[in-house]
Amino acid sequence: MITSLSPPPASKWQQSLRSPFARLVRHCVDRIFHGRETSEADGVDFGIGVVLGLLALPGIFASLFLIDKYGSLFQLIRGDLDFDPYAASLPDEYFFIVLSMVVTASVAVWKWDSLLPDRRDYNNLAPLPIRSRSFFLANLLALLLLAAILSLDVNAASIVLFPLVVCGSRASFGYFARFLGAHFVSVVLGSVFGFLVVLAILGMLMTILPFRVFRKSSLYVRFAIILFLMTILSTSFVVPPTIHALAEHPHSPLTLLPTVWFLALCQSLLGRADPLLHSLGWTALVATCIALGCALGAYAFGYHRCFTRSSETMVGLPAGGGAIVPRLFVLLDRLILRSPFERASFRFTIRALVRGPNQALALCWFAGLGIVIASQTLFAAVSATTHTTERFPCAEVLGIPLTLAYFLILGLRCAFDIPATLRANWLFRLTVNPKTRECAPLARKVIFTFLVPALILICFPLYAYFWGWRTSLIHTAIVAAMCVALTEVSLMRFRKVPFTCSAPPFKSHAIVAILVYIFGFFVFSAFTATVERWALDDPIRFLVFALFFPGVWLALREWRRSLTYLDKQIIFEEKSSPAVEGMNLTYGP
Amino acid sequence: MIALEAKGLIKCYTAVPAVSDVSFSLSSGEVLGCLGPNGSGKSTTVRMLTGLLEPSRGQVLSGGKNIQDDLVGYRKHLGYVPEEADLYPFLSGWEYLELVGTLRGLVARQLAKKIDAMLELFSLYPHRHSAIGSYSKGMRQRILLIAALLHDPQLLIFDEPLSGLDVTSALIVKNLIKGLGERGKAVFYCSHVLEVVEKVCSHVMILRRGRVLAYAPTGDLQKAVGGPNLEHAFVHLVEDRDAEQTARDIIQVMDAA
Repeated sequence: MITSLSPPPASKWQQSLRSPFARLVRHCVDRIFHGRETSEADGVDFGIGVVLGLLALPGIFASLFLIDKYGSLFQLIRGDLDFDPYAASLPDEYFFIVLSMVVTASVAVWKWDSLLPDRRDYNNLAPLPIRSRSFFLANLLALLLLAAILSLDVNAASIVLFPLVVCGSRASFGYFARFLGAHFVSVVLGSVFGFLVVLAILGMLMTILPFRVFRKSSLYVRFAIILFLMTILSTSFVVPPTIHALAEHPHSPLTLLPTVWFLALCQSLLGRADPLLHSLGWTALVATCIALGCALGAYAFGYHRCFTRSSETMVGLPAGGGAIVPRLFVLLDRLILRSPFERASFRFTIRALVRGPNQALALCWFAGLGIVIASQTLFAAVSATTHTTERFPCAEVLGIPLTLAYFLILGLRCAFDIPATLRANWLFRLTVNPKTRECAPLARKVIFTFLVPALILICFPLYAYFWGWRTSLIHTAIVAAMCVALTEVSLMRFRKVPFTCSAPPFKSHAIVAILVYIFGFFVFSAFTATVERWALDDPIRFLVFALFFPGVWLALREWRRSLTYLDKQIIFEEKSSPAVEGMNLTYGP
Repeated sequence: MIALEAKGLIKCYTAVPAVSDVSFSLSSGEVLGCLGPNGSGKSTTVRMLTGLLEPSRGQVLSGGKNIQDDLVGYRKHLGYVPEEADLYPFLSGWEYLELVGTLRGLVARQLAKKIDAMLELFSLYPHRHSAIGSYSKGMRQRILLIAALLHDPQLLIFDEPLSGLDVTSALIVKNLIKGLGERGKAVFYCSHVLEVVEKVCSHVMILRRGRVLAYAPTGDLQKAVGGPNLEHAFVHLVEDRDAEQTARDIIQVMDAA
């Protein structure tokens, strides 16, 4: 017989979790993860679990790829019997520090708009009997919690796997524990430092700048941070070989890199640091404390500006009204935009691309990556030989515009898939002919609007200046033709007005797609440039290109012919293919 | 001339129909008010009338033809104000209207003049270059109204067009709807504000649980029910509970807490 149905009394811990303050902290964590009103409307809101899972992925892959390097069997095969895991792991340690800092800081940049409370929070929470101090502390706690969660999540795999992989061939537990401790401290502190620096920048900008200027400059600041992060990520292999030479050059600019400080901290903890590295290790600790102080101060002032004064900052943001851009649109109307659909959608696409934070950020990310890789290639090529005195440029130099074009086209193509205020797409649903075939031509024209001026105004004159107009003309023509081919391939399944369709679901073959993009980059940029350089020595070899481009064109034409009517219809919703297709027979009165 | 006709509209999202057997006709020069409590199927009906939603059964006819056969042609003559003011926040008011007008195929020069004139009349001209994201609810609603009127459509579907409007703007819109009817436009007007429907609409249709409960000229409906106004008729037909008693019950619950 049941004597009592009352639940057991809650423990003190459970009671404190149910307290209004704990609920407020949970709300703050949720709002940071789920973002602002706009991101919800955009339909690009991911769950916390998915985000954390995705963030942990790079660490898992990076650790597993290193088994080949550190495995005792592989060392035996290579005859590397004096293998010193601590010394050998230095470049990889540096890479993990860079990766942890870049990923965590990138998340902070991604969540830029939701790190501090906004007008919606003010509207919802200000009327409630909650002290401003409580919300201040709750959001601060949520931010610190987020920094801790991210730092542990991003490095979770590498904290366990990397020391195991590196020290697996050593029987001593002490050896392993020391490496694990040093690695843990340096990567986690590196992550925390990255997060706090972004938070400090955000808070300081919000404190110093007027609201309007802050909103306008935010995008550029985020772009600059992403560019910096991309730069340190893509140059991560350059720094480690020079670390031990730093003692001879104590004033080297490398000592200013935060990632070098944390590597020095790791070396100090491993007992492998010279005096300079030891002092740089201390710099890492001091810098983290300073970043924490700056972030807290900037947060306090930024909070005061954005939350307690948010009712005063409800001012209109300027969106347009200039004279030059409308004239450019009119010019494009005459030149390339034929139908009302193209004219309207072209203007919409350009405006959404420039003003939509997610779209602009995605494009900036790709453009930044392209610029970093192109500049690395350029520096490598320039330092190797004096190409300008040669008759023809080397393959690396020829590949630079191809690299930039590849990332621009890919960036635009990916940005087109990011919805902008999805709920507002009813306008297009209502006015656009569902049978229209103008979506791909529209996207093509947008891409070419970015590409053609760059080719004519930058690529052609630069190559003409260094290598003569004939070489420049040939190179520009090949780059243009390759861009057309890549654009056509990237728009093969494109049948939506940019930004008006829900985001494509995360597919199981996304990893394969990324690998295809990487492979595509080498084919498009490096391979094409090599073939072009080979062809420049004997013009008859350009027949290769003369055969390649018509081949691509014919293949695309055949592929288009094979499409069914449904494959061509405009879409406003990306649906994943269901495992079982329902017959939809359930309607009735 | 019948501008819009619904014949036995049924819409099922699941096994339970959201709209079941809605039929009516709307002639040019008529203003048909659509009333109903929350969840009565008004919005679903409106979405089917605009072609944004395909009926599970039944047809929407315009000029005697099923609108699904030529949605593009039908929508050329349709002006629509949706219930929610979902607009692109990164565009300015002017840019949004330019987008709508261009998509509707209006000539650029005439369109610019028309937009400026409309913005002036709806008191939005000083804010024409501000981002819609910074507009108030009423300002967004006025942008929607202008967007629906820009191309001088023959058929207008308004879903709660007065939502968020100030007194002056609401008065303008009420007179505008009347004027549109007098100019021979067919207007389908969905609202919760009974007084406005009573004053503006020539015909009334009341929906409840997805079915048409009453459909008649406004005056006839009031006479048939025998009350002083439309509110009485609505309460008589739709509400199955005493509103005053419910209010008293709520106060009692508040006191108990």
